[in-house]
Parts: sequence; structure tokens; C-alpha cells
Amino acid sequence: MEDKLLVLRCKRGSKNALGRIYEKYKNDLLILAVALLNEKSAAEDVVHDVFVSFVRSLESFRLTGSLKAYLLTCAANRARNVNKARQHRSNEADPAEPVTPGADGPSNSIIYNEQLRQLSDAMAHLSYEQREVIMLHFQAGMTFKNIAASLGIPVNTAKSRYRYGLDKLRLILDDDVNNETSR
Amino acid sequence: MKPADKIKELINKSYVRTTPETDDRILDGALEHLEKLKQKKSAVNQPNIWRIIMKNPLTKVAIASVLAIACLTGLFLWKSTGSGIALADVLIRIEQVTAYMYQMHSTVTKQQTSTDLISTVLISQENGLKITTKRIDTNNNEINSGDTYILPKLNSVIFVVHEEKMYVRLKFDDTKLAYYKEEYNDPRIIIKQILSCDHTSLGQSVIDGITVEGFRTTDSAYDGGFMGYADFEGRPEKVDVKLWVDVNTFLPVRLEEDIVMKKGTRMHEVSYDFRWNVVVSADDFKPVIPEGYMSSGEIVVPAVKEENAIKGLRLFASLAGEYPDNLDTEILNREARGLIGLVKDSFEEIADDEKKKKKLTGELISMMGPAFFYEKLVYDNKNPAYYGQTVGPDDTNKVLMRWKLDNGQYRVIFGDLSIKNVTPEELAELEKPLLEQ
Repeated sequence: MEDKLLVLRCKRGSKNALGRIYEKYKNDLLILAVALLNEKSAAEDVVHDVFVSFVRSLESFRLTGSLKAYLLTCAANRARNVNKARQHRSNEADPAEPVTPGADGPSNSIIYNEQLRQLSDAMAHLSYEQREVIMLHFQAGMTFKNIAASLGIPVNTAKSRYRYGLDKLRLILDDDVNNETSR
Repeated sequence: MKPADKIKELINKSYVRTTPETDDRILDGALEHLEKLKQKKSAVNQPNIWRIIMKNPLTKVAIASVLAIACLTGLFLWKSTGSGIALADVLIRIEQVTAYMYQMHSTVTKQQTSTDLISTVLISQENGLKITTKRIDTNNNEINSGDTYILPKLNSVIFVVHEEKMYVRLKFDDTKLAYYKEEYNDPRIIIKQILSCDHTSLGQSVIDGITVEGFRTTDSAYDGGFMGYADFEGRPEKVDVKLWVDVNTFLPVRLEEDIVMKKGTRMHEVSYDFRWNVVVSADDFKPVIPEGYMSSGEIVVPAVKEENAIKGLRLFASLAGEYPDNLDTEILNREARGLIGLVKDSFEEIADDEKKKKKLTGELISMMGPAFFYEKLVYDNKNPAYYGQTVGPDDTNKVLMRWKLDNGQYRVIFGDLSIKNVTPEELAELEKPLLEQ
């Protein structure tokens, strides 16, 4: 109900309402973007683009489900484009100059805690497609059916990406636990 | 711990902190687009209650017919041109007529699509007004389009929309109906508008064997009875209006109007076959609603007064958390409808659909109170101003709305909806920060 009112007020041009939506969901959006891209400045760009796109579509926008899920799906879509562009650049780059996907931009304007660092580092070991399904499932609370629909893939593909992703995470997280206990 | 649980835990405990600069940077583009959206929304026309309440295109036609009557009334009021007939005399003659009727052929051309309508108009000083409208289809068939009844004794306006098999009843309280009667029918008001127009005499001519004298105006400032049309289609840009009056009876014989509105819509209307002092009875104005027609429910239009304006503002703020940005009736109506759409689930406890509809409509109309009130203040030249865009419910000392009183003071509604009368000097101080924003 609150989100619907906020969207309605945004439609009326309320900056205050847009600010409230941003404050309410920026954490979720930035966590998703950081977990998917493992890079602060790219995450910031993604969230920027999500809000621009949201406002641009306001005139015809109708909120039928959860605003959080909608925004997170938008962020995932944007992040996917960023990832594709990154891969494209990586293919074209001089092999002598390695790309460092985990490198943060120069900005320290986004500060995150240890848990997000762990999450981001763990996710960096997965394929982008696996990260996407896992994050949308856990963070946006989306069902595999909805994830599949939003990504344009079969439900079983979404489920297998999730399963393989978790298998990989088990090894990574076990290693982390072992490393911590051996210190 | 299972990896799924671990990931969930990490997500739940993850936290991002941003600097204000980052927030500004992220929201920068969005706010820019929001501003454009807002400007786009603001570019709308002046308000009119009829358009607001009735969204159905066919009822619009009926409403347009009502307004055309007012237009006709207005045209009777031109000042003397120095020719044989003074239009003021025509007015006097009209007012002596207890009932009259005429035919009206209207062609409305919008975006290269024309709609042809033929209306029969019956006006009685005692009983009110009835318009029967037929639409002419592409095969030249006449199709019953709608009937409109304005019934002062019942304080009601009823629209019967035949093509949709439905009818709508607007119930006005005394103030509201009186206001709209004044807006569209009071000669004193319309005279003020007509007198400001340049017009010429067309000299004498003969129409259907009757010697007539003609008057013409091409003044785009002409606003006669077209106030409602202006609300639909923008102000008149090209005007060519000719009225032919019987030189013996001083009564109109033919009226031709060719108006191009700002939005490009062209309206060509010819009123003819005037019959004066026809015999009518109350039964002629009794609404005829064919069996099986659906009622859209009775819409009670509240009095246009301060109290109802405040009530509407309070209701709007309780749902939206802020006041309407402006009190344009079209914008407010759209927003109020949006709000009602959002809260309609809270009416689920009302089992009866009719009651639910009535309650929702009541809320909607109530939220329109401030717009109606503001419209009246503008109309009455009370120098109103409204600051809903920057003033919210928590702004105790900020002026939300104000208008001039007859004693020279200003009536102010503050952000917390408290009210106070202030001097012009005090108002200037109060408004200073708002005007500086």
C-alpha cells in the first residue's frame, strides 16, 4: 500500500516520494548490484540507471506486484548489460593487460560492511548467470518461475543455475570457514 | 551451516552506506526526468466540473450541448452596434419568453474525424432545460445519442446515454447549482464577456421569409458560453459567430458559429427553427429512462465552500501524505481517482456493491472540493493562490491557500489546515519564503 502511494505521488512529480523510494530500496539495490558486479562504481551506475528508467516509465507504469522485486529485476537486467559490456571489453583487451573484475572504482562514496564484502567475494567465484538467479531468489524473494520469466529462460534452467551455484558456494564458504578457524 | 542459509545470512546482514553526494549523483538523472514529467503534467487547461465528473465521451456530447445553450444565451447580449436593433433589447425579449425550443446542428471536427449531431433544445424558465441529441452516423442514419435534463427544482442534472444504455444523476446542493446556473446562464456575467468583444453589424437580410438583422464577431476573445468548450479543447483561436435577429420581434432566427479551438478542434454549429413561447408542462421535463438502463449512481456534488475545500484537502493528505500539487480540476480528479483506486480495498467490508460505489464516489467528490472552491474563487476575482507543491501537512506556519475577502483582508489556510484572516502586509510576509523558493 505504501509503495503504491509512493509510486502514485512520483507520478504526480513528487521529488519527496522519489527520495523515499530511493531511501527505502537503495540498500537492496546496491547490495544486489555489488554482489552481481563486484564493483562499487558499476553498482552505483546500475542503481542510477534503474531510477532514471523508473521515472521515465512512470507515465505508463502500473505497479501490479512488489516494487522491491520490480526495482531489483530492473537492477539485475542493467547489471547483466554491464557484465556483457565488460566481457566484450575483456575479449577485445590486450591479453597482457588483465581485467580485474573485483576492482573497485576510485570512489569511496559507497561503503559496505564485512558481510557484503564476503558475499561479493563469494559470488565472484560463480558464473554471472548463477549469481543472478541466486540473488534474485534470495534477495528479491522471487520464485524460480518468476525469475525464469524475467530472464527469458526455462524454469529448469533457473533451478539448475541455482543448484550448481549453491554447490560451488558450499566449497567456497567451507574454505572461508576453514581459513577463519585455522587463523 | 548450509550454503543457502549462509548466503541468506550474508544478504540479511549486508549493509551499504552512501554519502549524500553519492545519493545526489544516483538520483540526479531521475530527478531531472521527474521535473520534466511534472512540467508536462502542469501543461493542462483550465478546469470545468462537467468534464471532471463525466468521463464518458457520449456524456461529454450531452454536456457540450448544455454549454451550447449557455453560448446561445450569451450571444443575445451584445452591445448595441448603432444599427436598428440593440442586443440588449433582444435580451429583454428573451427574458420575457417563458419557454422556447430550437434545433441545433453541430459538427465537431477533431483530428480529421468529424462528428455530426442534431439536438432539439427545450428551455423553460419554470422547469429547466431538456436536450435530445442524435448522432448522424456515416450512413446518414440518426442514432439516439443522449438526453440531458437540467432540473432546477430538483437541483439535479441527469444524463441519459442511449448508446451505452446508462444514466447518471448529478445532485447539486443549492450553492453548487446556483453557482453553475450563474456561470452559464446569468446574463450579467456573460454580458461582461461579450461586451469586451469587437463586433459588427451585417445589415439586414431575409431568412425563411423573415427580415432579419445580423451581427457578427470574429474576436477570439469571445468567451460567451464556450467556457466549457474551452476546458475541453483550449481557448478559441479563430472565431466567426453570426446571429440573425427578427427585426419585428427582436427574437433570434438563426445562429451560426464557427470556432477553432486551441487544440485544433473545430466546432461548427447552426441553431435554427426557433419556436418562441411554446406551451410546455412539467411532464415534458420528466426524465425518461428506458427499462434496463444501468444507473451509474447518484453523484452528490458538495457545496462550494471553504469547509468542503478543507475537508477535501484533509482527505487527500490522509491518503497521499501531502497536498495536491495544484488545484486544476482535471489533474486533481486524476490523482483523486488514483488514490481512490489504491484505497478501494479498504472498503471491502462493505458487502453491497452499490453502497461501496457510492462511498468511493463520495470520497472522490469530497477530494474535489478544494478544486471547485478554488475555481469559484478565481471566477469571483478573489485573488486566490495555492502552494500545495511546496507546503505540506506539517508546515504549520506556511500558507497553503489564500484568497481575498470583501473587507480587503486575506483568508489564509495554513499547512496544518488552520485558518486565519490577515492583512495584505501580513500576507506578504507570510508568502515571502514561498515566493523565494
